[in-house]
Amino acid sequence: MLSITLILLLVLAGSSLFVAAVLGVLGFSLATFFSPLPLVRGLGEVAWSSTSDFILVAVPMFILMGELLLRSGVTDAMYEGLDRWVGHIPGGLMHTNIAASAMFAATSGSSIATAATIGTVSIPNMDRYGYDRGMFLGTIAAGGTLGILIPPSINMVLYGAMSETAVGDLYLAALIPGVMLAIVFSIYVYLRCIINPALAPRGNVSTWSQRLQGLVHLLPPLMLFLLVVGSIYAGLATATEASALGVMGALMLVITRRRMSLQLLLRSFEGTVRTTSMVMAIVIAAYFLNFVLSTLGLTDAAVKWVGQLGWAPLAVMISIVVLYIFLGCFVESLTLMIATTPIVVPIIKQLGYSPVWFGVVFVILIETALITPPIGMNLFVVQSVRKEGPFRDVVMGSLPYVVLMFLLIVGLIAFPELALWLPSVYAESRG
Amino acid sequence: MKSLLEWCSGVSRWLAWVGGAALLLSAGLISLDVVFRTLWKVTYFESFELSTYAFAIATAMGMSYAMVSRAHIRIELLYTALSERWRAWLDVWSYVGLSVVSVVMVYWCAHTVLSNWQSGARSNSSLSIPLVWPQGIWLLGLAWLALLSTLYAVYGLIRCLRGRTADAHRLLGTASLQEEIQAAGSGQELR
Repeated sequence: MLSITLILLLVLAGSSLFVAAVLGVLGFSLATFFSPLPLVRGLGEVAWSSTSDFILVAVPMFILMGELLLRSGVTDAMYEGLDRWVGHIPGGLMHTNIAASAMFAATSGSSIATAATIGTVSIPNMDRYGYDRGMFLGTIAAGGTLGILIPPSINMVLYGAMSETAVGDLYLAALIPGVMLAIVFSIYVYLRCIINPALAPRGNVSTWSQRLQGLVHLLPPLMLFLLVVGSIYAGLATATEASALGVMGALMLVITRRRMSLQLLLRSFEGTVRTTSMVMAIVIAAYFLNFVLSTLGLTDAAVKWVGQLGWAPLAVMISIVVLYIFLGCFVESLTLMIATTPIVVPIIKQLGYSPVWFGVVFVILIETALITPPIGMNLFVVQSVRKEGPFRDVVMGSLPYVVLMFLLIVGLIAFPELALWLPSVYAESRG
Repeated sequence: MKSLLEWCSGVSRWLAWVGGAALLLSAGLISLDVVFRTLWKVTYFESFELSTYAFAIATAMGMSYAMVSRAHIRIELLYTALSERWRAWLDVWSYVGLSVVSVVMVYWCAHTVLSNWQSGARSNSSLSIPLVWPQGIWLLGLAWLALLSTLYAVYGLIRCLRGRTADAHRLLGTASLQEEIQAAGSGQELR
């Protein structure tokens, strides 16, 4: 049955059917052929309960927040403000790219939006100042992936909902690895540019008064981050409620920057609903498939099968990591995450790993999927914003960051506290 | 038929606006509840329940808009390797698949909604809303997707059978990256 499932999955997905339809058809066929019970009757209930799940309400909220934020025009000013702080370090604007991505990531949950936004602002400077193209483009593509690791993150909400893990814990767990990853990216750029100064021109050193003026532009995203993440840990709001506060914060930014118009609202609504429905179509189908798989006992069978292998937990974990890096080259990242969470999480739980810790590892794996060829969304986005020049530049420029992400995963396996320390401190403080 | 499809995608855009407005409104209600709870330890606005309805309705109403604006994801590994003529046939195939899945889904969702209606099910809260209201609107959104995806599939099939594969591909093909980035709210709009 497992092999039939896999073959059916590959044939359907390969024929370019919609992903949601692939998962749906798979669910129907398994339910019809292998179950004596009319499982398909559960579809209505599954569809309603997944589209009216309060935890998942955070998904459209974060998307709406990002849509409003983009149109408020804070990004350009933020980029300039950050440049005054980090632009003089060897590597120049490449550090600004990474820092701006990290900061934008802290207010938006989307990688495509992060890469497209930072790319649009920064790429015109690449040739103007004579940066090494591959390296420069790599910082944007890889920096963009920080969007799904540094909280708030839509992927974390989806993982939390599908694995029944608290989203608040996941955010705390991802915070240190997320910031670390951004710093590691910057250290890499710094070292490369020290060894070979031809890679980047030296940026101007800003005066302290310029820097302090630049801070003003960093305030809006910082305040939004504090509003969304701070309200959770002050115990004022749940993760979903915090996302709604974020929407209101972004709306205030749009209003105070005098950008408010009916057109702006309608475009934001379109963008929000479009992405939400796209994500939720896959989520509904995945919930249904998961309902069928667990009723048929396939999920248990997979967990048992892994148990029977008799491998050490570490060996299984390494295989999972390698498998995801491989799959990430070919499968679109959102699909990979939603479709596989319900199967892989029971497996890692049985091995004794924390699902909160694994959430962080998993999201980093999804980040690598965004920049590994041939299917890597962020590579496409950066290439498309750039408009001309060989695609190879972007691919080769991004590869070193895949290695750095892999190293962070190794670090997380060796020192799980990197992810688990903050949640445990928080849990203790709450008694 | 083409003008009918254009009219339908116009309706879908309207539905997306309604869904987006419902989401913004519920963000407001949730925020008010958080503020009131923090300051006065009371919750007035029942945002917990209402926002889940807004979410369900926005999701269902947006399904068709996501379709006409080509947001729904397809795995394009084989697809991109083919000529335009074959791509058009795969387009038709994938819309037929979407149509079948959404019709089956609407059938079973209608089953659930109708049985809730007949039993007079109400939400388990102080609002005690008859579930058929939010679920009915939700179902209409999904039904619109089923109808529209079927129309698209039929249109594509007719075009392909008449040898006009380019027409079919133009309407049913996957989004170009430029469209994708513009839809992500950046690109030209920002500059």
